[in-house]
Amino acid sequence: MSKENKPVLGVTVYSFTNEWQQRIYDLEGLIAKVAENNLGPAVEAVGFQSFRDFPDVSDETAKNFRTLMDKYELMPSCLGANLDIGIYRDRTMTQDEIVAYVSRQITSAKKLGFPVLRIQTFAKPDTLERLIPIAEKAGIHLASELHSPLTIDNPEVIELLEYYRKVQTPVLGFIPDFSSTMKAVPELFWENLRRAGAPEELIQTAGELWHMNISTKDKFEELQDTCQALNVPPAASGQINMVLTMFGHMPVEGWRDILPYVRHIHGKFYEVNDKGVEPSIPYPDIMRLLKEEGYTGTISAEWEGQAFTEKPIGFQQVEAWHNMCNKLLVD
Amino acid sequence: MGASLDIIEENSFRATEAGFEIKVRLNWYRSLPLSSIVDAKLALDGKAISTEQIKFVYDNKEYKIDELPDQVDTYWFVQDSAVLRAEVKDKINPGEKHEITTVITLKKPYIPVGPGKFLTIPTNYKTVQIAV
Repeated sequence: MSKENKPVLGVTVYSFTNEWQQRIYDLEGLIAKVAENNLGPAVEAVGFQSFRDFPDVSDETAKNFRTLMDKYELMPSCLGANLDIGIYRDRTMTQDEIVAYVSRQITSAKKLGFPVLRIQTFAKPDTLERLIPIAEKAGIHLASELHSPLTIDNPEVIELLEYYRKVQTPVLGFIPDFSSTMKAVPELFWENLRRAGAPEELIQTAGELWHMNISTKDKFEELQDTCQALNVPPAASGQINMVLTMFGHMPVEGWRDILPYVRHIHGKFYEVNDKGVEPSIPYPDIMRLLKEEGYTGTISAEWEGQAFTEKPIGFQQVEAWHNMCNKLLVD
Repeated sequence: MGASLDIIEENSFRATEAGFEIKVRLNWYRSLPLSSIVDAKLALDGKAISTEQIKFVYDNKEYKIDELPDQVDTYWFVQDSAVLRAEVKDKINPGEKHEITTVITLKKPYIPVGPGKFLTIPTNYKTVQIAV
């Protein structure tokens, strides 16, 4: 596989959040099933989800994880870090504290064998500048995740891209998440909203607004007005704004310019249906672009249906994602 | 996000000398520092229990609710249960059936929503259980 001019597929075990929360598997159980169902070879994890002793994994945790990767012939791809800048009661972390907090997670990534550490975009160039030598010394790439509502024309992202162009170090980069380039709102989201008591009229208005090219602020206001006019119950009105934050609709073409700086990809999806299609995300266009640009890095299947359903169907969905992507990469 | 978890575990209602306790789960996909628990409320049969009468127990350590926002070095692992322990006036006996309500409010310390503000969501959960 590695010799082919193709992306390397895999999975983030975050896709199995329902199974994990419901204690259906321990870490070895998850990893074994990933291997058995052929959902690797690349394996990603969220540090604060998969490892009890995160952010400072012990030597024993690291050894156990490396043993699992060897035993099941899988390769660590990316470790999700979190910048918990609001950890204190009444203040946010200072820059020194952020650097120290990320450094601990760089050390853990290295111990566990992950080559890339996912970070968040609010680590600005002045913070990144201090993290570069630490990442270089550890041989770990720090990659900022570009997730909805962020798009490549967001000032925050432009600032990062300009900084990467200036410093030219391989240890900094991006992780695109396909939530930024969606073509429809997932049906699972609407179903969940209906269960919360949303009337069809609200769903129709929200769906139409989502496609319109007006400012997010105007969309928020329009949604609020509609909720009021329709007397929508709080359980539903409290969730409706997620339609504007969770699902972005930037054109797929937007990813092209940043690809030289991409260190890993989150293959976000909500539902691969029984026709083998993810109706809310333009996978054929995305895979075509990655092939054209010769991307040979890793892509994780990242099922996020658990935001809207408690069903433990992560494995079925990730398998369907692999079938879909493998076909698209051959075509 | 997600309506995925029974925040109060099934069959976890236990009568104690001073009142009762229940097991609770973290309603999030990743472990969070205990300082993320900005509030935890309990009511028994619809009657609110005062904050001073409630303790949060994790990893064999007992915390007052208002001590939690300072616990930045202990993380509540996603697969673990914690315990809410309450003191009540009227003794609860094993075999009795009661309605228990909790509201646990979690701050997501890595999701800023404004200067110095972070995504903060309360989760309500109600259950009727028989005490053991």
